[in-house]
Amino acid sequence: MIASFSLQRMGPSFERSRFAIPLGALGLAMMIFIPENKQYFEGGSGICQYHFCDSEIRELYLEFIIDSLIWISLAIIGLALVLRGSLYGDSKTSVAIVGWFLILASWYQITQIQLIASLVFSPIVIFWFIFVSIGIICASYLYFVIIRYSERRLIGEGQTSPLDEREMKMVTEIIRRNLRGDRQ
Amino acid sequence: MISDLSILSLDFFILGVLVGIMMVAYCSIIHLLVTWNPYHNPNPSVILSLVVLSIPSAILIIESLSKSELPIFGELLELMFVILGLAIVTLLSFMPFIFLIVTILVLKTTFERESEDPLLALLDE
Repeated sequence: MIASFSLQRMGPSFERSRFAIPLGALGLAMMIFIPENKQYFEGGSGICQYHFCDSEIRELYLEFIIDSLIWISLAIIGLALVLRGSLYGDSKTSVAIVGWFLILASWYQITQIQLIASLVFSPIVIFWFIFVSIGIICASYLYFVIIRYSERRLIGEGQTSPLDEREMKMVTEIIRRNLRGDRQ
Repeated sequence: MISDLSILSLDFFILGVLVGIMMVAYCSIIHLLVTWNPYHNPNPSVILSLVVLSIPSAILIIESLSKSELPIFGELLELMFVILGLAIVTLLSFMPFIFLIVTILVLKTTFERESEDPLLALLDE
């Protein structure tokens, strides 16, 4: 799923980006339809005796992941449809309505996940979330520093030549279509 | 190791931070490998990710050696599995709050009218 998202963000100038959607669909299908094998430490034996390794918690975990994937998929499709149906100059009410229906379905799915309420309103989990967030922020900053350092060391290709008449027309057309929502 | 943790202790804090760091490292290394191209230099970031991802393995190896036991490769992989599983559950649990904000923003977009844009007028000329 992560690989699919990364490929999608590469954009059309890289040919491999066309594999993003099939790869994402494959990952989603595998997560939902292929049952997770039990790890050896689960069921009270092995290294992990913590509460999240208990068999019942394991079932809750898998159920939670699948429920979350369902609501996130509904939300992403719904949001994409609403945005597509509400763009300036390209307003399509029927598409937006279908999108909103999916968003509502997504919220309904969230309300059906009991684990979310018990997790989110538990003080321990809130502390845990804060600690994990600190880790994410620290790591992201470290990557930011490293990437900035390594990219600055790259030798540039020099100043590019100005756009010619044909390129200027093409860029103008791209901006016009994107700002106004003209898809044709 | 994990079973010895008590809630809201320093170990609990360290494990939480480690989970966050490993989550970023795991996502980053996949992203860097998948999007590898000649227009940037991903080597330092890839090395950083490998170092970070090897932290729990190193901890487990040190712990095993202190008990005069050989570390089991399966244990290392499954410890990583548990840590990443924790990170994913944590993020997914709080995702509805982000979705709430996005829903409000999309609601605004749905009913927003087209604004006068001087750039569009310029393009028409």
